[in-house]
Amino acid sequence: MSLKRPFRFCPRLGVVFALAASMLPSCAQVEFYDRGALANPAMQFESDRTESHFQQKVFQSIEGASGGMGNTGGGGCGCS
Amino acid sequence: MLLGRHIFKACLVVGVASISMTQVASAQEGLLDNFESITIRLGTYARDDASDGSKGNPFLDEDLAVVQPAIVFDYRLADDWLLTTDFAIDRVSSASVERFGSRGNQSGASGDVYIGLDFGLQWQSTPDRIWNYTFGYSGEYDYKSIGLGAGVSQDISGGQTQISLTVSGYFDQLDVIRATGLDDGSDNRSSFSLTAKAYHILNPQAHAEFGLSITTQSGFLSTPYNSVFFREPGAGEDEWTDWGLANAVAGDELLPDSRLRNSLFGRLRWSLKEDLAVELGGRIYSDDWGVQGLSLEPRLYLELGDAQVLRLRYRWYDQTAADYFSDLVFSDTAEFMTQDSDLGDWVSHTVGVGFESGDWHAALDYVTRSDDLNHLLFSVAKTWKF
Repeated sequence: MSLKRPFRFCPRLGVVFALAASMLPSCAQVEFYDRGALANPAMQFESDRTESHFQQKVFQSIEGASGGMGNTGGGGCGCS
Repeated sequence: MLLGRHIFKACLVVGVASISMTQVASAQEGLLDNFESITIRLGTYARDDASDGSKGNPFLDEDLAVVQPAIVFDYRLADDWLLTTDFAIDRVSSASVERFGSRGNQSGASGDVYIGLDFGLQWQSTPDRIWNYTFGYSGEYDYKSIGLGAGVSQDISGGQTQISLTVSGYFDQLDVIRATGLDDGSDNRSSFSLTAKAYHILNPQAHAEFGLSITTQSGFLSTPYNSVFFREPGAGEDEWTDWGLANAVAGDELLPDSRLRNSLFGRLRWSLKEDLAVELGGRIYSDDWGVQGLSLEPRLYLELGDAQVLRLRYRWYDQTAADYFSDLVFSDTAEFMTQDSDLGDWVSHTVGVGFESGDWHAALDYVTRSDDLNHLLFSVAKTWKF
């Protein structure tokens, strides 16, 4: 079997990436002493990495899409 | 009901393990000196098909229940070296997939055990640079997979921005066991991923992370035990209806032997008050099988007390079907065919609640899909930090 179709790049990907990249230069330096709010428990991205790992593994196995935050882009399982 | 029993067992197991670990830790001071943390987690999820299997793919009974105990620990090897280990076992119970007509049960899938073991090594080469190396093994009755990965993350501008780059590869060997139980030998599949990610502090109240992931897969990418129904050669066109199986014959799923997948993802969390934060996350996915997926995920985090956080989330996910998917009977001349519901065209809504109290975490999520294949997820975990 061989793949017949050329790869199609979704234009929405480019738009989102451009928006995300444009955020960076617009942000001023935040000093260490101004980062107190970011240390609150409610602001932690990885408060429980095992929970997010479990959930993303499940979503990867039940959806056609894969990849994302803390997740592999595919492989390592018997599913397609 | 089935998941209710799993949830009860999950709480019981983690509770008993918690008591045991606490006793070990107190009795063996020194034994755990080099451990940074140990987590015991029990996760479970279930997929609900109708009793007659009419949800999702009406050809198949897709009921599924998975229970996954796991132990995760971080072990300090040296000041600048950290070992992380994740050991998980999945106990899978799925309805025997009785195929249309006289097809036999799906081989091995009515009860299956998955074992996954992942090691990670983190080396902090400089105060602002960390290298990661990973090795993993996973296996079930019909496949074995070895995973290798490496990555680097770099702090820049005084920790305000962190960028990371990760490459990983998975090398799977599959036993091609068909729905009938026929063993078609073995085949291979390899997957390579490149993920670039950036974390950035936007202002004193907000930070964000976003990234890009590209994956290329090659080899045997079909699911060996998935069947499809196609037109019996020579059957008249006028005999067909949407779900017309009168003259259908069952065959094996056929999918291309390569796939290029990419996704853009990101999330931004904003602290509205000292005890209240909101997050908006999302992902855009596209691959050359024709699947495009878009998800948006708002979350709300509320601190209820000392180290107690309540998390509410909603996730909207919309995907288009793979070009090779059909919920109708295929033509007998189709080159590629799949009737796997997970590659179909549907929308899902997930609502979830999570609660963190000290070292305890619990989460419950319910997923509704437009093809009626709904899922319930639950996990509970206890972490010891040293």
